Amino acid sequence: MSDMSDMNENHSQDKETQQYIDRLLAGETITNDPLLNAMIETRPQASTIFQDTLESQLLAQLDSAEVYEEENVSPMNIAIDTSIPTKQTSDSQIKRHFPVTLIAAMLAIMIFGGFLTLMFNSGGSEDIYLSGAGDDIQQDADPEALADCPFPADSDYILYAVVAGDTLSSISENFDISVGDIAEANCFYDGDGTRSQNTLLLGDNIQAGDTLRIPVLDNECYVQRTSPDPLWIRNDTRTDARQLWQVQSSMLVLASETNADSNTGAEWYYVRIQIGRGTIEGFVLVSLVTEPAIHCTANAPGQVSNPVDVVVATRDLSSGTVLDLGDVETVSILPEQAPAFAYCCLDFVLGREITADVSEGAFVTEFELGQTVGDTSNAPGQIQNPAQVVVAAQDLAVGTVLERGDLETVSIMPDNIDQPFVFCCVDLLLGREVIAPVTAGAFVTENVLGLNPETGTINGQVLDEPNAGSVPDEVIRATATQLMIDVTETAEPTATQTP
Amino acid sequence: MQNTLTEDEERALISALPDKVAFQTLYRAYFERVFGYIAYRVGRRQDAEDIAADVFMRVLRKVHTFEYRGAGSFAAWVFQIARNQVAQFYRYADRQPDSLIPLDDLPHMQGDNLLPDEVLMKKETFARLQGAIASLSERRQEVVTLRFYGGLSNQEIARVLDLDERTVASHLSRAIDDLQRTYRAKESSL
Repeated sequence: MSDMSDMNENHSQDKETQQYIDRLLAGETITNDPLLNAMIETRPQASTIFQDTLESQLLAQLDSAEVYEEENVSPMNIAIDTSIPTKQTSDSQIKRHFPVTLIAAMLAIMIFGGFLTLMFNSGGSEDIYLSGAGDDIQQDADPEALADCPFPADSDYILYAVVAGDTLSSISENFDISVGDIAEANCFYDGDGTRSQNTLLLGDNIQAGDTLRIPVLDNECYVQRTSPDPLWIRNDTRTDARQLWQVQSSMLVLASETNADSNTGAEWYYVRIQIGRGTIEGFVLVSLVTEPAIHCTANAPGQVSNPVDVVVATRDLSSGTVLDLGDVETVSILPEQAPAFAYCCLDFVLGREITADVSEGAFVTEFELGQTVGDTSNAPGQIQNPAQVVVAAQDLAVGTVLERGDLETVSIMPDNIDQPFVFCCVDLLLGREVIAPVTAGAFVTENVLGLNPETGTINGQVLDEPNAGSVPDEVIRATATQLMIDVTETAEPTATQTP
Repeated sequence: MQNTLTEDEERALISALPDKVAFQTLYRAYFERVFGYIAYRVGRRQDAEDIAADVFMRVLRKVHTFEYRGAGSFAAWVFQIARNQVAQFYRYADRQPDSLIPLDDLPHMQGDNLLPDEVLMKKETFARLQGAIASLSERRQEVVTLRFYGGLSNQEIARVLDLDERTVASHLSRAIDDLQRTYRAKESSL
């Protein structure tokens, strides 16, 4: 009973307090209560000048994108390659301290003296350490973070997420470019050698998870495994040369065409792989065979580009077959390999009747579905014009996990698609997370989506920008049995970097 | 005084960050309340401005870590930052709350077109009231300033101070009683 009585008393007291405060806040009893009068009358107020000035400063910070700090990367991350081993970092090993003047001084040294020892690792004596997000720093890169840093439109680059232990010099070595190139590509400094106002990622705010733009030189491309068979890096261009490393699926491999060697008609690529903080260099044999084992584009793995999905027959199909699940599947191919009027996803062909025999593995295009191509040219979902493109059905906030109602498809001529990496089917986007705001009606492209959790890669793009630097298909196809590679230099893998 | 944003509006704005307009709207909705709270806690206008700037800079830099957990969670989060900054202000500089602050150093008070002597009177009242609040226990000072100058609800105060909502109500009720007594005593002694 006593408890109940206390509760009632408390409840009554709460209610009274609330009423009292409401009256106070409403200013109803000013004239009657000196205390209330005093509280309301003396509410501190900042000067308008201060409030406005602070607002301007904050918005300027927002403009400069120097806003997100420490533990976490920006909410707008796009993964470019999760396969590269990342250094595990514990909070105890990490602290962040970036004297701006020291950074500036070191930059000057790097720029003018070529001295590449800007250390961010925990072993250095300098008091400059990377901060980290605990134990799971991924290769997440944030393209938005570089929005204010101009880059020549006709140049290629990849996005690299800084990991704990990286140094500018190690990054530049891994990618075989100069620190100056990195600095320039990321607005590290202006042409006159001063720090740019657009400095976003380097300088006093560099930290694990930040994004660097890594310029891709003309003579380089990135090799991405598409075959489950192993590729080997070897120590020279002989088939019996010692095998150095097995290339993992989606492993980032820099290949240089200019250093390609040839041996008995086979094409060899000089390649370099980043293994943790080390690199392995050697040769990969690629020759002209039927099954593509690797493709080489100017895009790094995880960047949205090739391949596209195309519908093919899973078995021999005779004319008159009404297509059902099991009759068709999608395969991933380079856009230039896709035939005219091919489809990008099953939805558009299921339930339709084919009008010509189709053999197993052959493309199921509008030709096989009875379309009079001359009349309509293209049906919905075809890769050729007009394309079905996924747009936002409503404004999509960062963090939205896409559901069917969030998206819709519209039919559009490719010429009107002003963004790369758009999708053709809603299904391909369901369950994926939005990492940058999308307004209603805007394309939902790979650039605004996080990593595909199912495949770890990207898929379903309708159209693609040409891959500057791509090599012809016939040069880049190979099979595992013919991949024989050699070595010029070895970086010993660590126990945690199992090939 | 009260946050004019609805829960839905606020949530939409938070999710739109780092959109400039969204941040600007949130800033304008919260600035006065945050500044009021800080100013009462530290007394001096200059200190209050410095801390307020710090608070909003932190809000800007940390907002991506904020997790929306229902109505009032953002307000509670912002005021938690403000409270921490005030605590840091006293801790790191080894300061004690000033008992005597020159009137010129006090923050501006609400009210337009006041005559100089009215401003002076207001500031004197402020100083007296601040003295009365300072006589409360630390916990009740927090509750009172968050409620009256931060404009937080009991629920939001409970989140900021990590207390039960009923405890907050109890503190508030008793703090007001104490303040009434103290303030009336001060008034009558003038």
